[in-house]
Amino acid sequence: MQSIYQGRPARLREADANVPILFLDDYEELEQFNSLSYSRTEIQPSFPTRSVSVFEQLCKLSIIMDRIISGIYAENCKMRASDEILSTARSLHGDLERWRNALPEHIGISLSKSSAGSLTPHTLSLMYVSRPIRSYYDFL
Amino acid sequence: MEPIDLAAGRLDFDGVDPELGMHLLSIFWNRQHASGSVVYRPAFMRDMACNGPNFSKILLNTIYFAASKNSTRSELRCKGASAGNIGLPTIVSPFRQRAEELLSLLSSSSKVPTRMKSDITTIQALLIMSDALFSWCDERSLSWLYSGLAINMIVDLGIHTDRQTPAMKKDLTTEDLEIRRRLFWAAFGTYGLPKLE
Repeated sequence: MQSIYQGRPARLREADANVPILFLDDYEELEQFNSLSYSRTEIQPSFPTRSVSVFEQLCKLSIIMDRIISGIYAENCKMRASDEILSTARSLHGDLERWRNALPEHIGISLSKSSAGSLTPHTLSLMYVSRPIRSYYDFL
Repeated sequence: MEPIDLAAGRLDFDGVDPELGMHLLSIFWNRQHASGSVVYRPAFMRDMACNGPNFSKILLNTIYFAASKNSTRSELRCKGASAGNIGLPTIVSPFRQRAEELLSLLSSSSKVPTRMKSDITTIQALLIMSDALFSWCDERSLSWLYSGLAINMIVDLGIHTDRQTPAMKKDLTTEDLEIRRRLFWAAFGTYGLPKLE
């Protein structure tokens, strides 16, 4: 994630790794969300943290980011034909769309939905990260 | 187990007042949801009571350091911070100093040039330190180097692959597998995310 902010090559690559996005302990998924350090006064919201599913979605998003860095921002990309890069970009755009459409309902990425009542800081982070990437592709 | 170990005085806070230590740990656990689960809480807290392999003082102090920026307690504000710039770089943070001292002890010894060895708690500490420095202290070069060291250690320990061959000498429990997977994915992409401050 640092790589995309600093415009540097990623050091852990999708192609070099083989670890499933599969977590065994799901306690933090339904554990009650706690406002500690996010709010001056402690409030007791009564919704689940959903930490595990947000983590899983972040993992999937970071794979797409890795593809973006290597497919579009790699140093050797300047030597490639522009229509080739454009088709890579379109395919990555498709990856992002599929990622977004496959988001579980409870992550509530759309603020207009009624599920916005249980927005947690980590869900907001997920939205925050995915938005700039998406708007970049709309520009392309 | 956490409250029981706390009440029994078994948790090793590395000299920090237990009440403050628990406060900082609670903030860290609560904030960790936003950036992926780099430290597996049950294993860390259990080993904090018995100095087990999933606990280290480097990691503990790094957690204190990262959590202290999100605490509203006045005693954790950096020295010299005026009312207008609360939460600005805590270069003098005692937790950061302690963590980096312990880290340098790992890499220097009088007998051999270096005895630094890849270790899961060191990887976790390096990633947390890298994230705290990047998003907070604006020491981007050091932040990049710390995360680079963490990633090299990940590959050194074979955490980047679930494959297990006899040559890899992996004899992993289910818990080890969970710790390693969480750590890998945190390092791969989720750590260092922009977060709500």
